[in-house]
Amino acid sequence: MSGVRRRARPAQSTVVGAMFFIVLVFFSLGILYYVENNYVLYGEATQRAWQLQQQRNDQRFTVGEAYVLPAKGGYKTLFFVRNEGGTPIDIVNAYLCSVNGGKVSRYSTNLYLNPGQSEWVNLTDYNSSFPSVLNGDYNVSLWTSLGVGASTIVVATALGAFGSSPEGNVYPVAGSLSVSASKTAVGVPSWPPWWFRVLKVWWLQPGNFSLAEVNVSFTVVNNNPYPVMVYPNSSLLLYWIPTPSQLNQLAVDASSYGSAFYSGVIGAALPLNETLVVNAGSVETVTIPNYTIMLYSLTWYETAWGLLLSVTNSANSASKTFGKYPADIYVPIYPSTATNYTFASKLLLSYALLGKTYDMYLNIGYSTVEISPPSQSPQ
Amino acid sequence: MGSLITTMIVISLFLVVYVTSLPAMESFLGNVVFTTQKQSKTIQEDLVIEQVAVNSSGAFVWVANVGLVPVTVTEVYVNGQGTAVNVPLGLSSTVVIKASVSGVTPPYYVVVVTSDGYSTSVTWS
Repeated sequence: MSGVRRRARPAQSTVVGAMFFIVLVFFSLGILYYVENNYVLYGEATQRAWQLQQQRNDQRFTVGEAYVLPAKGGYKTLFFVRNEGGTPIDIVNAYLCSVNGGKVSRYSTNLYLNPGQSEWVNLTDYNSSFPSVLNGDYNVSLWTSLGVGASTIVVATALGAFGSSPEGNVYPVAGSLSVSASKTAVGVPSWPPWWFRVLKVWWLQPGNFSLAEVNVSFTVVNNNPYPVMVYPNSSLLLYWIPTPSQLNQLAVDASSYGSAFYSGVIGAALPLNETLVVNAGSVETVTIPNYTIMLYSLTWYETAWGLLLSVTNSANSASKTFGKYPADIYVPIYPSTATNYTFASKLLLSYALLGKTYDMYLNIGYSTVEISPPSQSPQ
Repeated sequence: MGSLITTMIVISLFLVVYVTSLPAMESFLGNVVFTTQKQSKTIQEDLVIEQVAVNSSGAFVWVANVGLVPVTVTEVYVNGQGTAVNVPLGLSSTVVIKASVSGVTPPYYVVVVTSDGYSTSVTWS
């Protein structure tokens, strides 16, 4: 028993107090962990929101220029977009809104642009329908997936597909390509220059009965900061603009003879020998001589009288070849009374800007042809 | 005997402290959790009003969710005229919300409010 000293047993209250202390410590730690965990989640959310805002602040893009062009079945709206920010952008929404605010069309897009990259946005590529007729001023706005937007104004005074706007159907907004056509007639064998003139023709037996030869020249003014290339497949087009009564007669004829020949456009390629390059800020004038406008009278199924029109160019041998019924425009004529027929002339240019090709229609003018009864024999 | 009494006193004190502090503790924790979680959600909400059109049918507001969480739009105000709506808006989606208005003239001050109280506004002229 001697020499062995036993440690004193702790009192029961000491054990209970220690357990109480330990429980309190763990309880407090649990609360602290729970609260801390929530604040961590809050901090992570704040961090993500801040990063998103940083990306948003870095996004900057501009809509440089815009066009409204007539296109099959509606209108094609083109916008030149440049990413001027420091981060990639993806444009997901585009709005076409009348400036008075009453009409809005939204189009979903999927355009991804890296910093410094530019692109043309073609809205008809992204959605099926456009308003068939645009009139007035339209606000066009584009939005990225992060909610950064840019907008511009497009002045759209275009009428329908057979529009009568003498200014043409191209509406540049900012730096742009503008084209003007001059009408120079040379070597007219039997007609006066047909541009803007009222022509008088007499209906004869089926066959070729009149022609006019003109020079077609146009001037390209390139206000873009980039060169523009005009391609040689440019065409001169002739549209027949029927009056309401003629339209009605077309419908009647269509029910009897079918509608295959009631197409509205005739044309032929302009013989540009090579691609015309118009440098930035430059003006180029192109003259294509010896354009021929030919009219054919036609006996169609020996029951309906019609008029076929064609545009050819003497320098383009391919366009001089006609079949029995050239796939041009058929205009029904009725020899009982003299009737006026109105035609619109358009120049169709294909041009390339920044690697993409576009079509541009330019209204040149109008001609009215008076078709007289066959009893009035030609001079 | 003395130890037993001391033990009883300690346990009684613990129970008294626990019972009396429990409601306050629950309230504190609830507020912390509710506040942080709500703020976590609200701070990730982000809407942008991309387009506004007002015509005889009403006001049409195109709203895009450009935030990090889905939201539900519950109220749209146009020049102070409010319209209660219930429009869920998923991530990266866009909806058009129609609001009933009468007699409003431009400029239009448009406010969109979500169920969590987030709001965004734009003046459209």
